[in-house]
Amino acid sequence: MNNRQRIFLTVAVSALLLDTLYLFIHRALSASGALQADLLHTTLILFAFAGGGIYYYRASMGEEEQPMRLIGRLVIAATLFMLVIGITQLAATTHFTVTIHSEVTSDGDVLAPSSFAALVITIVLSVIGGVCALMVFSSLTRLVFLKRKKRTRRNFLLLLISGGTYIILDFLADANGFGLRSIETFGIIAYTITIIAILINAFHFSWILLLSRREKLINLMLTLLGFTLFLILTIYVNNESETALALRAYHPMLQSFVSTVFEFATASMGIGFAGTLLHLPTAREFDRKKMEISSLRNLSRLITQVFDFDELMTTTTHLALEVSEGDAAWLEIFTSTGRANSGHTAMRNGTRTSLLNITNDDIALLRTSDGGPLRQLALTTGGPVLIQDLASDLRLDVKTRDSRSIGTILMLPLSSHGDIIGLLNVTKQEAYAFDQDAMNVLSAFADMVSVAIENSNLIRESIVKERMQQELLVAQEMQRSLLPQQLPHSSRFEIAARSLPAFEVGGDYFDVMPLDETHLGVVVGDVSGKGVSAALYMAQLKGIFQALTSADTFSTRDILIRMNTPLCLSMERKSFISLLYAILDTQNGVLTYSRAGHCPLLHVRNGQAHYLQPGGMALGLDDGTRFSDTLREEQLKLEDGDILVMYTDGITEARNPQDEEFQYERLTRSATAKVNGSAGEILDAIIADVHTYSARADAEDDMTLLVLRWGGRV
Amino acid sequence: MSEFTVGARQRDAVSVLELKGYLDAHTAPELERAFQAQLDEQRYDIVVNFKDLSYISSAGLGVLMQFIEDVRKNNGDIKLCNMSARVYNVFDLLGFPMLYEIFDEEDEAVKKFLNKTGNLT
Repeated sequence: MNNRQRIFLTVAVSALLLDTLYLFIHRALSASGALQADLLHTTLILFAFAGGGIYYYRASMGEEEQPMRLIGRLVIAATLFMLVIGITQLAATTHFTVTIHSEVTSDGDVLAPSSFAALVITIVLSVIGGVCALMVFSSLTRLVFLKRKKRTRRNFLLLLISGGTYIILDFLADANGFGLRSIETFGIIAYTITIIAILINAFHFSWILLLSRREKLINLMLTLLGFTLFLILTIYVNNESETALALRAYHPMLQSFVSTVFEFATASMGIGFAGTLLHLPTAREFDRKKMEISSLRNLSRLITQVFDFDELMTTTTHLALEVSEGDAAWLEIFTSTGRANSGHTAMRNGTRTSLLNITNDDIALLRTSDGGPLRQLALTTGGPVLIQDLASDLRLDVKTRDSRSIGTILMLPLSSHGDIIGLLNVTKQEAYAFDQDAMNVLSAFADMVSVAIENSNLIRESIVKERMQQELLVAQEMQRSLLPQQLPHSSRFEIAARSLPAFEVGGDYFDVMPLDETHLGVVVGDVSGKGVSAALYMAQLKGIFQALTSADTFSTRDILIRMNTPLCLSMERKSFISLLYAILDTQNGVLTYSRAGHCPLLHVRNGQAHYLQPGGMALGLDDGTRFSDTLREEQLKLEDGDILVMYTDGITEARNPQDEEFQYERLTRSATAKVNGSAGEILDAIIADVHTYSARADAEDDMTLLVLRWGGRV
Repeated sequence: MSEFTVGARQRDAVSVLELKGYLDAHTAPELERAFQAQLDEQRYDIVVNFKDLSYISSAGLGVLMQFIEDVRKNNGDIKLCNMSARVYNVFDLLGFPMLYEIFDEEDEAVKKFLNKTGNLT
């Protein structure tokens, strides 16, 4: 209860108390004992009822709008008032001689309680009657606005205005309305309009349609009870009954208010009863449709459960049972079937099942006439299979037909991309339990389940893929760290190098290692294949290479022969490594080099390119003497301005959109175009040329390029 | 992207694999299957005809390496023929001519096998 509500309640109660006090005093002083609807009394009553009405309306504002509960409240209010009437009547006849008689005074007809006790009863009856009427009115208001439409407000305003007008005119007429006879006529007109407004407003029962059959039955009884009670009350407060007289004696406006409200309630309950009665025959069918709709709406739950496959299966089974109103249901999902052979009876690696009201043993007992499992029937058909009467279906095994625990079975294959990925089964104890409607609904349901399962699989796959991607990025970072971060340089030479893997990781390798103060080892290698396997060998290559190079020999041939044996032993048969190894004597510019099956070394002198190709086969191909027999070592005395280009076949085999390769001629042209540039400039120029040629940013093969420039620039 | 296909045919006791198109890491499994099929049939005298092969990558060469040991253990061999200059260059750079017999014409390769069996009988 908030502050404002408390104020309304306080106003109402105080006004009521004040009024009661006033009535008592008035009665004590008055000779006739007649109650007069004078200004003070009227004002106090208006305050009391307005305050109480507003308080009640606000207090019930936050409640959930449940029409049946509102109707229940109407019935309670009516019953309460009936009880009070009954008790007062009983009290009046046994203990007091209470009569309210009309008394003719100078002011006209005046109603007067015959005794003090009668006055008390009058007040009690009136106050309770008023409160009940307020409750009824409030509940009716909420019922009217339950399914609010555009005209609802207008219609209700009409009722309020006409009803209010009628009540005031009736009061004025009663008080002999300033001597105006016509007021009575106006009162009758207002009353007629009020009745019409009541009828219009009483049609507010569209919500009945949505009730379940059971609720409709309850509603039927409630409205009937309400209608009866309010009809009796309406008649009672309108006639010359004691109650009517008491209300009128208390205040004429109260009586008209109470009677109008009760008329409204009677009309509402009557129409409600009729409406419910009309909807009753279709209730069962409607219930089923509603169930189907709500089940299908529940399917949205499937969508949110794609992250948990087991949960998805459980939900599916439950929903299948709910949708079909079956007795048992089970779902089989075939995991990792050989997708290539979409043969329906193909061997399934595994089946995941979710059971409801049935066991695996029960299912195993269900067999077709040839002794195969029942699911075979659906798998060979490929579409839904409905067995309407298990006992008489010849497709089934004799034993299965004899077991009478199942009458109807519906099997729905779940398919994805033309393959059957699972089977949804629903059974019912009676035969012929599923009609075409049920089958359609379940088929639609099965389609949605297929999609949900497919989505679940896709999500799982994409999560795995995402993780692999992350791993690859880690591998990429690690591989990058295997390549030299900084290249040595001096006044005598400069080196630039770059490696561009086609994927996250690649099989290309380059390294530049000072062997001692005057010798520099330079290597470019290429592991066969691509991707992760090549990258792992590349890492191994670096390890072996660094372990074997040392200052004890400056023979490139020796080193490569030493490397071949461990590589032959450790690598797969189909893998091999091509490698170009050169050792530069930084004192005198003598380059010693060997080529193990690698692309020839490009040497540019005075703008002239030469490809140097000493004999040698790739590492890892032959662990016999053939490797050492063929491997040659050559030497080259570098002159100032000489440029050496070492590369992998990703450069020369880069292809343009017409599928033509970059080839040696273009490499020559690129390498000789900037003979006066720095090693880095030459490197950039070649890579830019390759990219321009292939017209794509990503390469098909790993590309590695190393440029060494000897001596000062010309 | 060019396609890659392998055609297999028999010339007497010799199996001839005809390669066509573009042989790289993606298409290499195709050639692997072709070789495996021959080994499954216990055919170990194999000629690979490169006439219509436009490109071979290191992965393609790896397939030859993968099967050569098995084949030779069973007294067979893999012989190569009809290579374009560009394809031959790839073989040559890596030193494959040291490991495989390479012929200009398929007939020569087949004859070499048939002579071998002829000598045996």
